[in-house]
Amino acid sequence: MAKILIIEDDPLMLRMYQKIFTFEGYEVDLAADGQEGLEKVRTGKPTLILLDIMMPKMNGLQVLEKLKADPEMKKIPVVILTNLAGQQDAEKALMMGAIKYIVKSEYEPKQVADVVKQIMAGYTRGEIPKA
Amino acid sequence: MPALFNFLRQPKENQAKILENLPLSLAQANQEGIIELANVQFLKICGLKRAVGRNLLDLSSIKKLNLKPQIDKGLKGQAFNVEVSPNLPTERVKNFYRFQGIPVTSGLLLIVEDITAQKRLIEDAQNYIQKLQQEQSRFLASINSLGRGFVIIDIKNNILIKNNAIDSILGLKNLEGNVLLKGDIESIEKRLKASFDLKSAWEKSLAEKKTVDIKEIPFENKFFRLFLAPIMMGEEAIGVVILIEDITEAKILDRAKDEFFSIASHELRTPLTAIRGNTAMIEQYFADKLQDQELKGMITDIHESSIRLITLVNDFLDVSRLEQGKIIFKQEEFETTSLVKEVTNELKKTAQEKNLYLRLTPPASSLPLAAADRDRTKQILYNLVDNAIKFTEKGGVEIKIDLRDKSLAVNITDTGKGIAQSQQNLLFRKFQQAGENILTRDVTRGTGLGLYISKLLTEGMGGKIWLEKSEENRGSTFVFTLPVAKS
Repeated sequence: MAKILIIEDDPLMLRMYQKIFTFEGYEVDLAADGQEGLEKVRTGKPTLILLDIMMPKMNGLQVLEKLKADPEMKKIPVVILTNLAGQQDAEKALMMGAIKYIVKSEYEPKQVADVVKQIMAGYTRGEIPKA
Repeated sequence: MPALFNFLRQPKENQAKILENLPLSLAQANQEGIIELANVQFLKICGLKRAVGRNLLDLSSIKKLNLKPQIDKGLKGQAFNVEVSPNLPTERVKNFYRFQGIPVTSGLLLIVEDITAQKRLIEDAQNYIQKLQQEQSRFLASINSLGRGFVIIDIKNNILIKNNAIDSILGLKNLEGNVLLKGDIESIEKRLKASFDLKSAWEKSLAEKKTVDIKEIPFENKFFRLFLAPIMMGEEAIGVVILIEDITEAKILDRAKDEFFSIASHELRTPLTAIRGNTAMIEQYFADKLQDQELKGMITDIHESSIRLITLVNDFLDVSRLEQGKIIFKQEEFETTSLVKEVTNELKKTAQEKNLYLRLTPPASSLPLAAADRDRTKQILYNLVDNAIKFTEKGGVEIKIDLRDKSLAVNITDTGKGIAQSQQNLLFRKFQQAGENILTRDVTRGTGLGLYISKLLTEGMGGKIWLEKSEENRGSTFVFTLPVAKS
């Protein structure tokens, strides 16, 4: 069963995304900040990571940098979560190796799940869908 | 009067000639006051036909002017010099005469001068000076009430006028305890040197006879805006006006506004996203628990409201950033036809729900690529097509793309209710709903910002947007243009 790791500091959003992936039949792991997130990647080895950009202490871009610097962790696809104001950072994340970014307020949870499904299917087929 | 001695040595005929041509009135009396000599001018001024032989003290004009005491004194050897006016106080025109009494060995020389013109000139000059002084006071008061530093310099570096604000803005008073050391522009130039070359700026303004506007100069912990303008007298530049404005507070306000908007939008969007997401999931995964239609309806309403609120927040943020010029448009080249197809695909369902057609008329010939920001163009298209669907009940929406004046023009035509002539010029304004009064507003119309945002976006990318035509109950055509890619 595929495992999704959600790294998101806002508990409201964390709960919401946890629900949708649980409903869709994924195993879900949660992290409330960048540090915890990196640890859970190492120990949990998720199939895909949902990463929030705007977090205190260590923001999403810093986490992404660390992920892509590690030979094992860099292979895991990363989908960025952002709100409209963070779009510029999200574009930067794409250049740093994230697969796609999702503007949280513009997507229904089911659509997020569909995107994730597509990406994972692409990965297993060896194709990476366009951001 | 040395001339008089020469005069007295002249032969009699010449004496007479000289006397009659003097610009003065002259009379000479003996020690008793009897007039021995008088010229025509004197006769005229005193209103006499004959003066020789008569006593000065008896002349009515002398009596009228109250000159008897002076003449008495004069005959006794005391010189006098008085200004008199023969006019009554009630008379508007006033004449003035100077009566000069010069004692001579044989008696008294009386010289009368009409000084009316002189007096008037002096009065006029005094009035004029007073007016200028008032002007200057007014001017100084005005420039001192300016919040900006104001300096006028002449072409030789000298400061002609400065106001108080310049000292406080530049912090000049504290430097040496004196204000503006030499009274020339050098002290100000020195003060600004690290941030800005003022000397070159004003020299340039003078030489080119043009205004210079420097929007932002960092200075210590402040920001200034500098404005220089040459003072023209005909074709010549005779000086420069320099204005220095402290814009620090305006900049701080700007940044604060920016920060407020980002934080506010983030804080608003998170709970809204939670409402949207959770209600969507309830509808999707808990449908069995929602069998009650009323309950289902309420969840749907909550979900749709959250989407409306999210759109509102997005619109407000967009407007604020567009108005502040903070939106960066990507320079991209893309095919308009495929972009239109994307939008029509997204809105197909909405149109179908109202049984409306939504189609793109394929262009007659191949079109060049557009040079603009693709996402923002999609936003404009989406707004116009969505509006078209909203305001149409039967028929549908047709989109056509053509080339006009070297720009790509996208035409969106609907068969909807149209817009009344009187409302048409309100269309692209902020918050304007081209509808009747605010109480009868159609609640589905949204914030009234859609067209305004579309306008700011289009113009920001170098295009234009307008209502091509509209007829009530027949429909409307909106057009927006985009620049063509150079390749």
